[in-house]
Amino acid sequence: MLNELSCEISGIEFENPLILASGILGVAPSSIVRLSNAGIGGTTTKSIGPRTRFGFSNPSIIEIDDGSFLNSVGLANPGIEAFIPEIKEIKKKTNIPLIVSVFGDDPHIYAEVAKKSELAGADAIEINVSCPHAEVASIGLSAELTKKFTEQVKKAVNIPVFVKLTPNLANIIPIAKAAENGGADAIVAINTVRGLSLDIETGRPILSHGIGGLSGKAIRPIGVRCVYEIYPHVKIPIIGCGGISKWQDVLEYIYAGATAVQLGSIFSRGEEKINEILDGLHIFLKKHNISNLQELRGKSHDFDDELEVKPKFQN
Amino acid sequence: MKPPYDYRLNKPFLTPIIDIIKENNRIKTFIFEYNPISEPVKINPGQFVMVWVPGSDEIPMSVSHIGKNSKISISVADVGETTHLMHQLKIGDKIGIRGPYGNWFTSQNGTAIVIGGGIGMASVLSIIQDLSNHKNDPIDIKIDKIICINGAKTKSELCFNKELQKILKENDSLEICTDDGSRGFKGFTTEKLKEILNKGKSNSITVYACGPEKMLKTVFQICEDHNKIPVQLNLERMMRCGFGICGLCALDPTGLLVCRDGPIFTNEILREITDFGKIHRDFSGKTYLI
Ligand SMILES: Cc1cc2nc3c(=O)[nH]c(=O)nc-3n(C[C@H](O)[C@H](O)[C@H](O)COP(=O)(O)OP(=O)(O)OC[C@H]3O[C@@H](n4cnc5c(N)ncnc54)[C@H](O)[C@@H]3O)c2cc1C
Ligand SMILES: Cc1cc2nc3c(=O)[nH]c(=O)nc-3n(C[C@H](O)[C@H](O)[C@H](O)COP(=O)(O)O)c2cc1C
Ligand code: FES
Repeated sequence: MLNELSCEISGIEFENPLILASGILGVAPSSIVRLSNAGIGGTTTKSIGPRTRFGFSNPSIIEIDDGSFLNSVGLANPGIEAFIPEIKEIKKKTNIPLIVSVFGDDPHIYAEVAKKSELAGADAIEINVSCPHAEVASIGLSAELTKKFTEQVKKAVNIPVFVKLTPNLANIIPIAKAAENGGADAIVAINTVRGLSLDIETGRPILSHGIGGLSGKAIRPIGVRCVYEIYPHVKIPIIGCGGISKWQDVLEYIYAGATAVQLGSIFSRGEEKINEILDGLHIFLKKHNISNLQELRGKSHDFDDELEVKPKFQN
Repeated sequence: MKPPYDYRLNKPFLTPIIDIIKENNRIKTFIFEYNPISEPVKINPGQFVMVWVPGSDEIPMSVSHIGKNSKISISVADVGETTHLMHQLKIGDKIGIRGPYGNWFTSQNGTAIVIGGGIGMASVLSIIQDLSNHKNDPIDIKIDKIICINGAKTKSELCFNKELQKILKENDSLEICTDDGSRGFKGFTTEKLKEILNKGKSNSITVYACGPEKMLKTVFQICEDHNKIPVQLNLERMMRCGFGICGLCALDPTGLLVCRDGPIFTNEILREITDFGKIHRDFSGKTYLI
């Protein structure tokens, strides 16, 4: 399986670094099979909780600018019991790593949903402590809670546990460290950025919930910055996420310190994007005579010493 | 055909209702202008829009009439909370529209059989108009005959008959069916279809249909049994985004999305879809048998 794009995260091998982000096309096994056939390296399911949840009413997903979306789906999901057969079916029909994203009301419920996902066949667990328009948002804002929730899930399962972080705080580094201290095997950064869109004629918030999570092109610099800030402070791998729409964006995340990346909103433009991005990466690596993408990981930090720290003044 | 992607159409555009027509006790047609961007928005027969009732929900609705000067309509059956709220709306009230979404019906040469079951008639009205236009003006597509089957449970639930009579011309036909026989043929639209296919000898037939999924499934089986008559069937699924990102409307086992790869599907695809006539998902994403 080794090739110039392959990578490894906590013992799980990915044929390429493109992973489906949670909540995009992650409801039905058939969608995941379709993306797998289109060449994606790994997939993440919709965030799954302990019970059936309808989330927020529509409008809950809108596109506010070319390639930038605002959503307040609100963790709609069928609940783990109904989702177990779906995990089994995905595992039966695909042979790429499957990450099951989980959430719950308290650490024990996170752990329980994670355990059930593991038994159903998940290759890794992603803990969602970062959905900005749901109750779980507060966990990801606290280093203490992030560590506690991570520890509980780690204790419950034998497969790798990833923790997905929110960008909606002033300093993401302590949260990333807390996840690592709690035993996380990797960090996923970032979830959506809190945002709001108003109707021009009436001033009314468009999403039924009002504030939602911004994703897509608009947030890429925020995601890249978060990975860049976290990288020097943790030893575990980072999966970059947010606003990737072309191969150049993947490189940015890798330079910032990511081992792999997740893609979400771009699938509004069709699964053909996977091949487009992979082709672009292959050509780039060949052109620069690089045998594996991972050689470029963290390259932006080569320039840390050269960055200007203090602004200049007149005189 | 796949619709072109235009991000400007993925955010609701608030527009006042300019007219409301009461079709029957359960169905009202709402007419409004949809001009969210500087150029006219092209809408094709069978495409749908997401309709937002501010303060309530946003739901998918087929475009029932594609008029001039950006005027379009939706025809809404009062079946639940949001549609009921819509039925209370008055001229001048604003609704939010985004779209159009999905692929569309395409007129094919020969005889057209168009079936509308209940409110399903709303989504085939515009293809009937298109077929009729081609019939009057046969440049690229030649339509021999349009047979329209309009079915409902009972007489009072029938709709669009007057309008259909106006669109249809000599040698076309309008077959009315009611389950209880209160008007027209007593029985399902599918029984009428069988009767027509068994006695007719036309060679190039295309069947266009929208209605309850059980009806569509039967229509499909009948057409497959009759030498695989080509069909264009309009499927419905629970929808959240409408433009292929949430994954709620995916069909097993191909992962085709009803909002983007459909809602109109043809024989080759329908043969593969195991969910067809069987499995739907609710708003949480949970599957259930229909
Ligand atoms: C592509 C498409 C085209 C449609 N065209 C028409 C039309 O032209 N005229 C018409 O009257 N109806 C149409 N419908 C059905 C219409 O969307 C539902 O009747 C409406 O959403 C019901 O909402 P409610 O709140 O009144 O009822 P609820 O009580 O909320 O729901 C009643 C039923 O409506 C369906 N439904 C509810 N919400 C949604 C949703 N977000 N997406 C899909 N289905 C939903 C479900 O089957 C549900 O069981 C169409 C549906 C689809 C998918
Ligand atoms: C419609 C939608 C639903 C989402 N649902 C979830 C979810 O259930 N769990 C989660 O961790 N992230 C969820 N996200 C966030 C994405 O996984 C991802 O972090 C974010 O969209 C940024 O990536 P992108 O710019 O490539 O979309 C959702 C995003 C969108 C647009
Ligand atoms: S409704 Fe969201 S993918 Fe079809």
